[in-house]
Amino acid sequence: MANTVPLLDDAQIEALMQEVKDPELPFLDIVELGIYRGFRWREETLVVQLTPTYTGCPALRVLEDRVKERLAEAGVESVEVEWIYAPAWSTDWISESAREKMKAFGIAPPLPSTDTPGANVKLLFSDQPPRVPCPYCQSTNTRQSSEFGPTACKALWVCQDCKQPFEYFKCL
Amino acid sequence: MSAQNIAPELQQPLFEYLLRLGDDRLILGHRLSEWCGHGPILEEDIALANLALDCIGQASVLLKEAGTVEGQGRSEDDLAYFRDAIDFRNLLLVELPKGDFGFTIVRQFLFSTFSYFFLEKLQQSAHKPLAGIAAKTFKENLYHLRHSRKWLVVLGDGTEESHQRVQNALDELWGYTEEMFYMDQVDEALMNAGIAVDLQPLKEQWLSMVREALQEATLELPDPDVYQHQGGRTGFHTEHLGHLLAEMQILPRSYPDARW
Repeated sequence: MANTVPLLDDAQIEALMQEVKDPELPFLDIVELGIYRGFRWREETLVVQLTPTYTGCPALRVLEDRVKERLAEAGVESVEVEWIYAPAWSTDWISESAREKMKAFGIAPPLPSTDTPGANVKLLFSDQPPRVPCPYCQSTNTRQSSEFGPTACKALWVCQDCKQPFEYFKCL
Repeated sequence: MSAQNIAPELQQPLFEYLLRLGDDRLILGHRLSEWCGHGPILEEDIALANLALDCIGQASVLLKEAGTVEGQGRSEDDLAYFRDAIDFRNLLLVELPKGDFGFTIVRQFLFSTFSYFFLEKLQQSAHKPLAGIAAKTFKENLYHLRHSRKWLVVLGDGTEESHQRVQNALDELWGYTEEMFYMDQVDEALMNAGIAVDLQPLKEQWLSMVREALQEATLELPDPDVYQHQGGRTGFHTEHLGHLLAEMQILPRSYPDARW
């Protein structure tokens, strides 16, 4: 039985992981989102390391299932998912290609985490959230209508020029 | 994550410690979830549900780790749904009924401010899984702190009615704040091993950040000599926890094999 385990290399596994899409953002995969962190073999078991975006994100369990399904299809029967908490996931890990796709889907990508409220206490309590460019018309004449949106990772914004409400993938 | 390298004499204290942290977030998360569908405005309904989701997510990883450390095969769900009130280790602060919106906001602010300083330190814990969870949770808590502080100022420095309501909430909740800094032999054993956070130095930092916010919100700092309620850390709870658990636990207790 031992011989039936295909010896996948880093690139092959990563390519498979690029086929695992986020259920909330189906145009993005877990590699470009920075959720996939790597893997290790424990005898014949492939241990895939993922990191949660938010600890309470309801998509986590779905992702775990999808990773296992995709690897099973590729012939890896024994797969475990290991959730890694440190270093904590940061929106800075989201790739450039993912940011471009977000914009195309009307979601403003996260600003660099140095602009995040956590960067210092002054920003933390500031009344003025950083200006997020509108993903439709690029105007920075935008305002936040709610810091919390339909999923844990997004806030609600409105463009005051093109009047279009949009979602902002918030910094973490 | 395995229960790697835990000295046998630290296993029980670490289990207790993880229950304390996990239960705080589970119970607070449940209280926040009670606002779902009842928020004063749509955005706020969504915001409180998001906060609830964060807290319950954090509870789930902390309780999972508690189960791992305990080594009796109990999952996070077993610990959440099949323990009785006397076995819960949460602060009394978080189990009090949600009250009005002002009460919920003041409680969230007091707890999130505490968590800000606590989680900052916990990231250096010698128990690696706990340090990792702290790093993750710290970031999420920043949003909770920012949100509740903003509302505290809006309501405190708002109308006569809103000001009075949050002042009343603050006065009532103040008697439950000292417990956040409660330490006993559980903390001591773990502090010696570099696992737990010394809570004593955090108090001054906490108070200073609270004081600053109250000033901005034109609220009065409550009487510092008010009676301080304690007992949650050792299983002595208010009557409110039993009612909360009845609602939270009924489904898995009625249908232990339920799946969804």
